[in-house]
Amino acid sequence: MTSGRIGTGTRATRALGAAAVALFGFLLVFGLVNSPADAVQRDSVRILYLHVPSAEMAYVAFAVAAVCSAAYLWRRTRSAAWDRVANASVELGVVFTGLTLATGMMWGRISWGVYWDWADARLVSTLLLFIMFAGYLAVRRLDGSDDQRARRSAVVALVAILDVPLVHFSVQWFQTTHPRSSLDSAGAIDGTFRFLHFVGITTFLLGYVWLMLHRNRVAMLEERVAGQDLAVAIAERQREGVAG
Amino acid sequence: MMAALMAYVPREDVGMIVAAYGLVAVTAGALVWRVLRRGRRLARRVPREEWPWT
Repeated sequence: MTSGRIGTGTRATRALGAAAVALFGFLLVFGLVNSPADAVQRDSVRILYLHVPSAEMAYVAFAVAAVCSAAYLWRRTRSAAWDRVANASVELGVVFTGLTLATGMMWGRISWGVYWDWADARLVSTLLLFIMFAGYLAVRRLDGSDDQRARRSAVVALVAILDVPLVHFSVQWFQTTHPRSSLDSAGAIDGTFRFLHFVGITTFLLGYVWLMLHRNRVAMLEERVAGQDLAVAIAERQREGVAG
Repeated sequence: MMAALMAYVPREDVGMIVAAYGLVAVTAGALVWRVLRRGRRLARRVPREEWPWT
């Protein structure tokens, strides 16, 4: 289902994008204006609606990348499509992790009085996650064939994903300044916060799906255009050979 | 919206909270703009009937 427009959009992705924008608008109004202050976190709880969903979407994005990387490495399921999806998912996961770190630092400045605490396992393991997946993107730029690039980066993704459980459970395994999740235990937080967190995660999920669809379509077009350019270059060389 | 927020949130915290929302909005906008622009440029070079998602 496409319209007459030139681009990677379809009616379905436009509807998806509109829903994500509408939900973000809702989150913006309710998060900034209508949200009540939390008993402990006070007004800094407003950052929760961005910080927690971005962290959860980073987990989802890296998990998708790891599954696709494993599917690429396994000979029976090897396909360039897995590599393409893994790359797109890591790109988004790195952005989500960056947002998690940035919004977390802002929250920390309000709650703890400092932007960063090097002794905090949650903060440092999240930074490590960001660096490892940024490394994945760097590995993709190394010289080599498409298959070499895909295999190298798949291995990096499967190593880097091991940090996700460390990030998630760091607040239980270590003494951290970062609080434990109050969203996991029923009744620990007010229903309004839970609802706004749900709106936040839905907004980020729709955004992730929208960006994944478009990024994959762009990657498919890049492959087609690269194939066209190669065919033109070969034809030119052949003409030169005949003329010579 | 800013005035409503400043009415009941301590002044020093308002900047951080608004900056967090602004950062997410600007980052999402930049990502969307970049992917759509790249898609439009590439789609012009490939015949519509060859677009893989159609």
